[in-house]
Amino acid sequence: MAHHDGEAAATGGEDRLSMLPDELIIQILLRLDTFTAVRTSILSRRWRLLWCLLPKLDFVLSDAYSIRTALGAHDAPSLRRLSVLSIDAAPESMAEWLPVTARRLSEELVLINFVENKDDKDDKEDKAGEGGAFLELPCFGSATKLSLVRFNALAVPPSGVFARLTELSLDTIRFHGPCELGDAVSLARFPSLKQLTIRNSQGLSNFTIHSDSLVKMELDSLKGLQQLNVVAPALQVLHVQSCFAHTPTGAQPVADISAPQLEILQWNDAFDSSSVQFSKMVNLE
Amino acid sequence: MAAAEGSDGGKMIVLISADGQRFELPEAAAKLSQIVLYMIEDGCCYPSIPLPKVDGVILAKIVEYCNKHAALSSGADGSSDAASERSKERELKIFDAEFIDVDVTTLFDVMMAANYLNIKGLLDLACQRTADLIKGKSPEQIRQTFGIKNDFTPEEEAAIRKENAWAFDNI
Repeated sequence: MAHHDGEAAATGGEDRLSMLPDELIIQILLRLDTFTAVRTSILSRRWRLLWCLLPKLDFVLSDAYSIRTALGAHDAPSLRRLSVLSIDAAPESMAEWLPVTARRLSEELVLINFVENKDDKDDKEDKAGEGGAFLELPCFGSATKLSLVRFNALAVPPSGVFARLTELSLDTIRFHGPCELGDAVSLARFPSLKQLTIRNSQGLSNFTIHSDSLVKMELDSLKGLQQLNVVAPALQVLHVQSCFAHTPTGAQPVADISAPQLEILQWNDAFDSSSVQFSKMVNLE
Repeated sequence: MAAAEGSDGGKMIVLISADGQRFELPEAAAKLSQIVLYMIEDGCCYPSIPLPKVDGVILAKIVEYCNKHAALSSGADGSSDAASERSKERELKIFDAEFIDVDVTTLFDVMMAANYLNIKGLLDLACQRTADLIKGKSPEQIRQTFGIKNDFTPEEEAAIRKENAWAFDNI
Protein backbone atom coordinates (compact mmCIF):
# COMPACT_ATOMS: atom_id res chain seq x y z
CA MET A 1 0.00 0.00 0.00
CA ALA A 2 1.41 3.35 -1.00
CA HIS A 3 1.61 6.05 1.61
CA HIS A 4 1.16 9.64 0.60
CA ASP A 5 1.62 11.38 3.87
CA GLY A 6 2.83 14.48 2.11
CA GLU A 7 6.60 14.62 2.47
CA ALA A 8 6.73 16.31 -0.88
CA ALA A 9 3.74 18.14 -2.26
CA ALA A 10 2.03 15.82 -4.72
CA THR A 11 -0.24 18.61 -5.75
CA GLY A 12 1.10 19.52 -9.17
CA GLY A 13 1.50 23.07 -7.88
CA GLU A 14 -2.21 23.52 -7.41
CA ASP A 15 -3.52 24.38 -3.96
CA ARG A 16 -6.68 22.31 -3.95
CA LEU A 17 -7.21 22.60 -0.21
CA SER A 18 -7.48 26.38 -0.30
CA MET A 19 -9.82 26.15 -3.31
CA LEU A 20 -12.42 24.22 -1.32
CA PRO A 21 -15.59 26.10 -0.43
CA ASP A 22 -15.62 27.60 3.09
CA GLU A 23 -18.12 25.08 4.41
CA LEU A 24 -15.88 22.14 3.52
CA ILE A 25 -12.85 23.80 5.11
CA ILE A 26 -14.94 24.34 8.24
CA GLN A 27 -15.81 20.62 8.20
CA ILE A 28 -12.08 19.87 8.18
CA LEU A 29 -11.24 22.41 10.88
CA LEU A 30 -13.98 20.97 13.09
CA ARG A 31 -12.01 17.73 13.13
CA LEU A 32 -9.01 19.48 14.67
CA ASP A 33 -8.63 20.79 18.18
CA THR A 34 -9.43 24.49 18.41
CA PHE A 35 -5.79 25.55 18.81
CA THR A 36 -4.65 23.67 15.71
CA ALA A 37 -7.59 25.14 13.80
CA VAL A 38 -6.67 28.68 14.88
CA ARG A 39 -3.06 28.14 13.83
CA THR A 40 -4.20 27.67 10.22
CA SER A 41 -4.76 31.45 10.23
CA ILE A 42 -1.08 31.83 9.41
CA LEU A 43 -1.03 29.61 6.30
CA SER A 44 -2.09 32.32 3.83
CA ARG A 45 -4.55 35.17 3.37
CA ARG A 46 -7.25 32.71 2.37
CA TRP A 47 -6.92 31.07 5.80
CA ARG A 48 -6.53 34.17 7.91
CA LEU A 49 -10.09 34.34 9.22
CA LEU A 50 -11.54 30.94 8.31
CA TRP A 51 -11.32 29.68 11.90
CA CYS A 52 -13.63 32.51 12.90
CA LEU A 53 -16.43 30.66 11.10
CA LEU A 54 -16.12 27.65 13.40
CA PRO A 55 -19.47 27.02 15.08
CA LYS A 56 -17.81 25.24 17.98
CA LEU A 57 -14.79 26.03 20.13
CA ASP A 58 -13.10 23.76 22.65
CA PHE A 59 -10.64 25.01 25.21
CA VAL A 60 -8.62 22.56 27.22
CA LEU A 61 -6.61 24.05 30.09
CA SER A 62 -6.56 27.51 28.52
CA ASP A 63 -6.20 30.61 30.63
CA ALA A 64 -9.02 33.13 30.87
CA TYR A 65 -7.14 35.68 28.77
CA SER A 66 -6.84 33.20 25.88
CA ILE A 67 -10.50 32.32 26.00
CA ARG A 68 -11.56 35.95 26.17
CA THR A 69 -9.26 36.92 23.30
CA ALA A 70 -10.46 34.02 21.19
CA LEU A 71 -14.11 34.84 21.80
CA GLY A 72 -13.35 38.43 20.90
CA ALA A 73 -11.71 37.49 17.61
CA HIS A 74 -14.20 34.78 16.72
CA ASP A 75 -17.06 36.39 14.90
CA ALA A 76 -19.18 33.60 13.53
CA PRO A 77 -22.76 34.81 13.21
CA SER A 78 -23.50 32.57 16.10
CA LEU A 79 -21.31 30.49 18.32
CA ARG A 80 -23.20 27.25 18.66
CA ARG A 81 -21.13 25.24 21.09
CA LEU A 82 -18.40 26.02 23.57
CA SER A 83 -16.65 23.59 25.85
CA VAL A 84 -14.08 24.58 28.42
CA LEU A 85 -12.10 22.19 30.55
CA SER A 86 -10.07 23.80 33.31
CA ILE A 87 -8.36 22.91 36.56
CA ASP A 88 -9.08 24.94 39.67
CA ALA A 89 -10.24 27.95 37.67
CA ALA A 90 -11.07 30.85 39.95
CA PRO A 91 -14.57 32.34 39.69
CA GLU A 92 -13.07 35.74 38.80
CA SER A 93 -11.25 34.24 35.81
CA MET A 94 -14.41 32.62 34.50
CA ALA A 95 -16.27 35.88 34.96
CA GLU A 96 -13.90 37.34 32.34
CA TRP A 97 -15.45 35.38 29.50
CA LEU A 98 -18.68 33.80 30.69
CA PRO A 99 -20.90 36.88 30.22
CA VAL A 100 -19.87 37.35 26.56
CA THR A 101 -20.45 33.64 26.02
CA ALA A 102 -23.87 33.89 27.60
CA ARG A 103 -24.85 36.61 25.15
CA ARG A 104 -23.68 34.79 22.03
CA LEU A 105 -24.06 31.06 22.58
CA SER A 106 -26.95 29.55 20.64
CA GLU A 107 -26.72 25.89 21.59
CA GLU A 108 -24.54 24.19 24.10
CA LEU A 109 -22.11 25.06 26.87
CA VAL A 110 -20.04 22.43 28.65
CA LEU A 111 -17.90 23.63 31.55
CA ILE A 112 -15.77 21.21 33.48
CA ASN A 113 -13.62 22.57 36.26
CA PHE A 114 -11.46 19.90 37.82
CA VAL A 115 -10.45 20.51 41.38
CA GLU A 116 -7.18 18.95 42.42
CA ASN A 117 -7.03 16.82 45.59
CA LYS A 118 -10.65 17.38 46.36
CA ASP A 119 -10.66 15.33 49.53
CA ASP A 120 -7.72 17.08 51.21
CA LYS A 121 -9.19 20.47 50.65
CA ASP A 122 -12.72 19.73 51.68
CA ASP A 123 -12.51 21.81 54.85
CA LYS A 124 -10.98 24.81 53.17
CA GLU A 125 -13.54 24.65 50.44
CA ASP A 126 -16.27 24.75 53.00
CA LYS A 127 -14.99 28.12 54.16
CA ALA A 128 -14.48 29.36 50.64
CA GLY A 129 -18.00 28.29 49.86
CA GLU A 130 -19.39 30.32 52.71
CA GLY A 131 -17.74 33.71 52.43
CA GLY A 132 -15.24 33.52 49.56
CA ALA A 133 -15.45 34.14 45.88
CA PHE A 134 -18.31 32.58 43.99
CA LEU A 135 -19.32 32.34 40.39
CA GLU A 136 -22.64 33.79 39.44
CA LEU A 137 -23.90 32.04 36.37
CA PRO A 138 -24.84 34.69 33.82
CA CYS A 139 -28.20 34.40 32.15
CA PHE A 140 -27.97 32.35 28.96
CA GLY A 141 -30.82 33.80 26.95
CA SER A 142 -30.42 31.76 23.79
CA ALA A 143 -28.48 28.59 24.72
CA THR A 144 -30.39 25.32 24.63
CA LYS A 145 -28.14 23.14 26.75
CA LEU A 146 -25.93 23.85 29.76
CA SER A 147 -23.75 21.32 31.47
CA LEU A 148 -21.59 22.31 34.45
CA VAL A 149 -19.29 19.95 36.30
CA ARG A 150 -17.40 20.64 39.53
CA PHE A 151 -17.93 24.15 40.79
CA ASN A 152 -17.22 25.10 44.36
CA ALA A 153 -19.44 28.09 44.71
CA LEU A 154 -22.04 28.58 42.03
CA ALA A 155 -24.80 31.09 42.34
CA VAL A 156 -27.89 31.18 40.23
CA PRO A 157 -28.55 34.66 38.84
CA PRO A 158 -31.37 36.45 40.65
CA SER A 159 -32.98 37.56 37.41
CA GLY A 160 -33.00 36.90 33.66
CA VAL A 161 -34.85 34.38 31.54
CA PHE A 162 -33.14 31.28 30.12
CA ALA A 163 -35.63 31.42 27.30
CA ARG A 164 -34.47 28.56 25.07
CA LEU A 165 -32.80 26.26 27.58
CA THR A 166 -34.13 22.72 27.33
CA GLU A 167 -31.44 20.77 29.18
CA LEU A 168 -29.68 21.73 32.39
CA SER A 169 -27.16 19.38 33.94
CA LEU A 170 -25.27 20.19 37.15
CA ASP A 171 -22.75 17.73 38.53
CA THR A 172 -20.64 18.14 41.66
CA ILE A 173 -21.71 21.68 42.44
CA ARG A 174 -21.73 23.56 45.69
CA PHE A 175 -24.54 26.06 45.40
CA HIS A 176 -23.96 29.48 46.80
CA GLY A 177 -26.89 31.36 48.30
CA PRO A 178 -28.89 33.37 48.77
CA CYS A 179 -30.80 32.65 45.56
CA GLU A 180 -31.92 29.06 45.73
CA LEU A 181 -31.87 27.07 42.54
CA GLY A 182 -35.42 26.00 43.29
CA ASP A 183 -36.55 29.62 43.16
CA ALA A 184 -34.82 30.06 39.85
CA VAL A 185 -35.92 26.92 38.03
CA SER A 186 -39.44 28.11 37.84
CA LEU A 187 -41.86 28.52 35.07
CA ALA A 188 -41.07 32.14 34.37
CA ARG A 189 -37.28 31.86 34.29
CA PHE A 190 -36.90 28.54 32.45
CA PRO A 191 -39.94 28.36 30.18
CA SER A 192 -38.49 25.65 27.87
CA LEU A 193 -36.68 23.40 30.35
CA LYS A 194 -37.39 19.75 29.59
CA GLN A 195 -34.60 17.90 31.31
CA LEU A 196 -33.00 18.73 34.66
CA THR A 197 -30.20 16.67 36.19
CA ILE A 198 -28.47 17.50 39.47
CA ARG A 199 -25.88 15.12 40.87
CA ASN A 200 -23.38 14.99 43.74
CA SER A 201 -24.15 18.49 44.83
CA GLN A 202 -24.70 20.38 48.02
CA GLY A 203 -26.21 23.61 49.17
CA LEU A 204 -29.78 22.81 48.20
CA SER A 205 -31.80 22.28 51.35
CA ASN A 206 -35.20 23.25 50.06
CA PHE A 207 -35.71 22.49 46.43
CA THR A 208 -38.97 23.75 45.03
CA ILE A 209 -39.65 23.54 41.37
CA HIS A 210 -42.69 24.56 39.41
CA SER A 211 -42.41 23.88 35.70
CA ASP A 212 -44.95 23.25 32.98
CA SER A 213 -42.30 22.15 30.51
CA LEU A 214 -40.21 19.73 32.58
CA VAL A 215 -40.35 16.14 31.24
CA LYS A 216 -37.46 14.44 33.02
CA MET A 217 -35.80 15.16 36.33
CA GLU A 218 -32.98 13.31 37.99
CA LEU A 219 -31.73 14.17 41.48
CA ASP A 220 -28.85 12.06 42.70
CA SER A 221 -26.80 12.46 45.88
CA LEU A 222 -27.85 15.97 46.86
CA LYS A 223 -26.21 16.29 50.25
CA GLY A 224 -28.35 18.09 52.76
CA LEU A 225 -31.63 18.08 50.89
CA GLN A 226 -34.44 18.41 53.40
CA GLN A 227 -37.44 19.31 51.39
CA LEU A 228 -38.46 18.68 47.81
CA ASN A 229 -41.51 20.26 46.23
CA VAL A 230 -42.32 19.50 42.65
CA VAL A 231 -45.20 20.80 40.60
CA ALA A 232 -44.63 19.55 37.09
CA PRO A 233 -47.74 18.72 35.10
CA ALA A 234 -45.75 17.37 32.11
CA LEU A 235 -43.15 15.38 34.08
CA GLN A 236 -42.82 11.82 32.80
CA VAL A 237 -39.65 10.55 34.45
CA LEU A 238 -38.45 11.22 37.99
CA HIS A 239 -35.37 9.70 39.60
CA VAL A 240 -34.53 10.53 43.19
CA GLN A 241 -31.52 8.78 44.65
CA SER A 242 -29.44 9.14 47.82
CA CYS A 243 -30.62 12.65 48.60
CA PHE A 244 -32.54 12.47 51.85
CA ALA A 245 -30.46 9.56 53.04
CA HIS A 246 -27.60 12.05 53.53
CA THR A 247 -29.48 14.23 55.97
CA PRO A 248 -27.05 14.58 58.88
CA THR A 249 -29.71 14.70 61.55
CA GLY A 250 -31.52 11.70 60.20
CA ALA A 251 -34.57 13.91 59.81
CA GLN A 252 -37.40 12.42 57.83
CA PRO A 253 -37.62 13.22 54.15
CA VAL A 254 -40.20 15.81 53.24
CA ALA A 255 -41.47 15.81 49.71
CA ASP A 256 -44.56 16.90 47.91
CA ILE A 257 -44.69 15.78 44.30
CA SER A 258 -47.43 16.76 41.93
CA ALA A 259 -46.77 15.15 38.58
CA PRO A 260 -49.95 13.67 37.15
CA GLN A 261 -48.29 12.54 33.88
CA LEU A 262 -45.48 10.63 35.59
CA GLU A 263 -44.70 7.33 33.85
CA ILE A 264 -41.43 6.27 35.46
CA LEU A 265 -40.63 6.87 39.10
CA GLN A 266 -37.43 5.69 40.72
CA TRP A 267 -37.12 6.52 44.40
CA ASN A 268 -33.92 5.00 45.77
CA ASP A 269 -33.93 7.02 48.91
CA ALA A 270 -35.29 7.35 52.39
CA PHE A 271 -39.05 7.23 52.28
CA ASP A 272 -41.68 8.04 54.81
CA SER A 273 -45.26 7.73 53.70
CA SER A 274 -46.39 10.36 56.19
CA SER A 275 -44.12 13.09 54.84
CA VAL A 276 -43.53 12.06 51.23
CA GLN A 277 -46.62 12.73 49.24
CA PHE A 278 -47.45 12.08 45.63
CA SER A 279 -50.39 13.35 43.72
CA LYS A 280 -52.45 10.86 41.74
CA MET A 281 -50.52 9.42 38.81
CA VAL A 282 -52.65 7.48 36.35
CA ASN A 283 -49.92 6.65 33.80
CA LEU A 284 -47.35 5.24 36.20
CA GLU A 285 -45.83 2.04 34.82
CA MET B 1 -28.94 -2.69 -20.52
CA ALA B 2 -30.09 0.00 -18.15
CA ALA B 3 -32.68 -0.75 -15.50
CA ALA B 4 -31.76 -4.39 -15.72
CA GLU B 5 -31.92 -6.70 -12.78
CA GLY B 6 -28.67 -7.59 -11.04
CA SER B 7 -27.53 -11.11 -10.31
CA ASP B 8 -29.17 -11.00 -6.88
CA GLY B 9 -32.45 -9.85 -8.36
CA GLY B 10 -32.03 -6.22 -7.17
CA LYS B 11 -32.38 -3.33 -9.56
CA MET B 12 -29.26 -1.96 -11.22
CA ILE B 13 -28.55 1.74 -11.79
CA VAL B 14 -26.29 3.12 -14.50
CA LEU B 15 -24.19 6.23 -13.85
CA ILE B 16 -22.44 8.10 -16.67
CA SER B 17 -19.31 10.11 -15.88
CA ALA B 18 -18.33 13.47 -17.39
CA ASP B 19 -16.13 11.70 -19.93
CA GLY B 20 -18.89 9.28 -20.93
CA GLN B 21 -17.89 6.15 -18.98
CA ARG B 22 -20.70 3.86 -17.83
CA PHE B 23 -20.85 2.41 -14.33
CA GLU B 24 -23.50 -0.12 -13.39
CA LEU B 25 -24.15 -0.69 -9.71
CA PRO B 26 -26.90 -2.10 -7.50
CA GLU B 27 -29.62 0.36 -6.53
CA ALA B 28 -28.78 -0.10 -2.82
CA ALA B 29 -25.21 1.09 -3.50
CA ALA B 30 -26.28 3.98 -5.74
CA LYS B 31 -28.70 5.20 -3.09
CA LEU B 32 -25.82 6.01 -0.74
CA SER B 33 -25.70 9.20 -2.80
CA GLN B 34 -28.51 11.44 -1.61
CA ILE B 35 -28.65 13.08 -5.04
CA VAL B 36 -28.96 9.74 -6.85
CA LEU B 37 -31.52 8.63 -4.25
CA TYR B 38 -33.72 11.65 -5.08
CA MET B 39 -33.40 10.92 -8.79
CA ILE B 40 -34.40 7.29 -8.24
CA GLU B 41 -37.37 8.38 -6.13
CA ASP B 42 -38.41 10.86 -8.80
CA GLY B 43 -38.16 8.14 -11.43
CA CYS B 44 -35.61 10.06 -13.49
CA CYS B 45 -32.90 7.43 -13.28
CA TYR B 46 -33.67 5.56 -16.53
CA PRO B 47 -32.04 4.65 -18.74
CA SER B 48 -29.07 6.20 -16.92
CA ILE B 49 -28.01 9.06 -14.65
CA PRO B 50 -25.52 11.51 -16.17
CA LEU B 51 -23.04 13.02 -13.69
CA PRO B 52 -21.38 15.79 -15.71
CA LYS B 53 -19.32 17.05 -12.78
CA VAL B 54 -17.59 13.77 -11.97
CA ASP B 55 -14.71 12.37 -13.99
CA GLY B 56 -14.58 8.65 -14.82
CA VAL B 57 -11.44 7.98 -12.75
CA ILE B 58 -13.06 9.44 -9.65
CA LEU B 59 -16.50 7.97 -10.34
CA ALA B 60 -14.84 4.54 -10.47
CA LYS B 61 -13.56 5.15 -6.93
CA ILE B 62 -16.92 6.43 -5.75
CA VAL B 63 -18.65 3.34 -7.17
CA GLU B 64 -16.08 1.11 -5.44
CA TYR B 65 -16.85 2.85 -2.12
CA CYS B 66 -20.61 2.59 -2.53
CA ASN B 67 -20.49 -1.08 -3.57
CA LYS B 68 -18.41 -2.02 -0.56
CA HIS B 69 -20.49 -0.05 1.92
CA ALA B 70 -23.80 -1.27 0.55
CA ALA B 71 -22.60 -4.88 0.59
CA LEU B 72 -21.38 -4.63 4.17
CA SER B 73 -24.11 -2.41 5.60
CA SER B 74 -25.98 -3.94 8.49
CA GLY B 75 -28.52 -6.54 7.50
CA ALA B 76 -27.47 -6.55 3.83
CA ASP B 77 -27.03 -10.32 3.82
CA GLY B 78 -29.77 -11.08 6.29
CA SER B 79 -27.44 -11.94 9.14
CA SER B 80 -27.72 -9.74 12.16
CA ASP B 81 -25.81 -11.28 15.03
CA ALA B 82 -23.48 -9.01 16.97
CA ALA B 83 -20.29 -10.89 16.07
CA SER B 84 -20.84 -10.64 12.34
CA GLU B 85 -21.82 -6.97 12.70
CA ARG B 86 -18.54 -6.31 14.47
CA SER B 87 -16.48 -8.13 11.88
CA LYS B 88 -18.25 -6.19 9.10
CA GLU B 89 -17.51 -2.94 10.90
CA ARG B 90 -13.85 -3.93 11.15
CA GLU B 91 -13.72 -4.82 7.48
CA LEU B 92 -15.28 -1.47 6.52
CA LYS B 93 -12.80 0.39 8.70
CA ILE B 94 -9.85 -1.32 7.02
CA PHE B 95 -11.42 -0.72 3.62
CA ASP B 96 -11.97 2.99 4.39
CA ALA B 97 -8.39 3.47 5.61
CA GLU B 98 -6.92 1.95 2.44
CA PHE B 99 -9.49 3.62 0.21
CA ILE B 100 -8.63 7.15 1.38
CA ASP B 101 -4.85 6.65 1.47
CA VAL B 102 -4.38 8.55 -1.81
CA ASP B 103 -2.42 11.55 -3.04
CA VAL B 104 -3.92 14.90 -2.10
CA THR B 105 -5.17 15.68 -5.61
CA THR B 106 -7.24 12.48 -5.63
CA LEU B 107 -8.28 13.17 -2.04
CA PHE B 108 -9.82 16.51 -3.00
CA ASP B 109 -11.35 15.10 -6.20
CA VAL B 110 -13.05 12.45 -4.07
CA MET B 111 -14.09 15.04 -1.47
CA MET B 112 -15.65 17.34 -4.06
CA ALA B 113 -17.45 14.43 -5.73
CA ALA B 114 -18.73 13.15 -2.37
CA ASN B 115 -19.92 16.67 -1.60
CA TYR B 116 -21.65 17.04 -4.97
CA LEU B 117 -23.23 13.56 -4.83
CA ASN B 118 -24.00 14.06 -1.13
CA ILE B 119 -22.48 10.83 0.19
CA LYS B 120 -22.12 11.70 3.85
CA GLY B 121 -19.92 8.79 4.97
CA LEU B 122 -17.43 9.40 2.17
CA LEU B 123 -17.39 13.17 2.73
CA ASP B 124 -16.70 12.59 6.43
CA LEU B 125 -13.93 10.16 5.53
CA ALA B 126 -12.25 12.63 3.17
CA CYS B 127 -12.55 15.53 5.65
CA GLN B 128 -11.13 13.37 8.43
CA ARG B 129 -8.23 12.30 6.21
CA THR B 130 -7.45 15.95 5.42
CA ALA B 131 -7.59 16.86 9.12
CA ASP B 132 -5.23 13.97 9.89
CA LEU B 133 -2.80 15.35 7.30
CA ILE B 134 -2.86 18.74 9.08
CA LYS B 135 -2.49 17.39 12.63
CA GLY B 136 0.95 17.54 14.23
CA LYS B 137 2.49 19.63 11.43
CA SER B 138 4.06 23.06 11.59
CA PRO B 139 2.49 25.76 9.38
CA GLU B 140 5.36 25.36 6.89
CA GLN B 141 4.86 21.58 6.75
CA ILE B 142 1.13 22.07 6.16
CA ARG B 143 1.88 24.47 3.30
CA GLN B 144 4.24 21.91 1.77
CA THR B 145 1.79 19.04 2.07
CA PHE B 146 -1.00 20.89 0.29
CA GLY B 147 0.97 23.29 -1.90
CA ILE B 148 -0.30 26.38 -0.08
CA LYS B 149 1.54 29.54 -1.10
CA ASN B 150 2.35 31.84 1.81
CA ASP B 151 1.26 35.26 0.55
CA PHE B 152 1.89 37.09 3.82
CA THR B 153 4.82 39.43 4.28
CA PRO B 154 7.02 38.45 7.25
CA GLU B 155 5.57 41.46 9.12
CA GLU B 156 1.99 40.35 8.50
CA GLU B 157 2.80 36.82 9.57
CA ALA B 158 4.35 38.11 12.80
CA ALA B 159 1.27 40.26 13.43
CA ILE B 160 -1.10 37.30 13.08
CA ARG B 161 1.07 35.22 15.37
CA LYS B 162 0.87 38.00 17.92
CA GLU B 163 -2.87 38.46 17.49
CA ASN B 164 -3.52 34.76 18.07
CA ALA B 165 -0.60 34.27 20.43
CA TRP B 166 -2.73 32.14 22.75
CA ALA B 167 -2.95 29.47 20.06
CA PHE B 168 0.70 29.70 19.02
CA ASP B 169 2.16 29.56 22.50
CA ASN B 170 3.67 26.12 22.14
CA ILE B 171 4.95 26.58 18.61
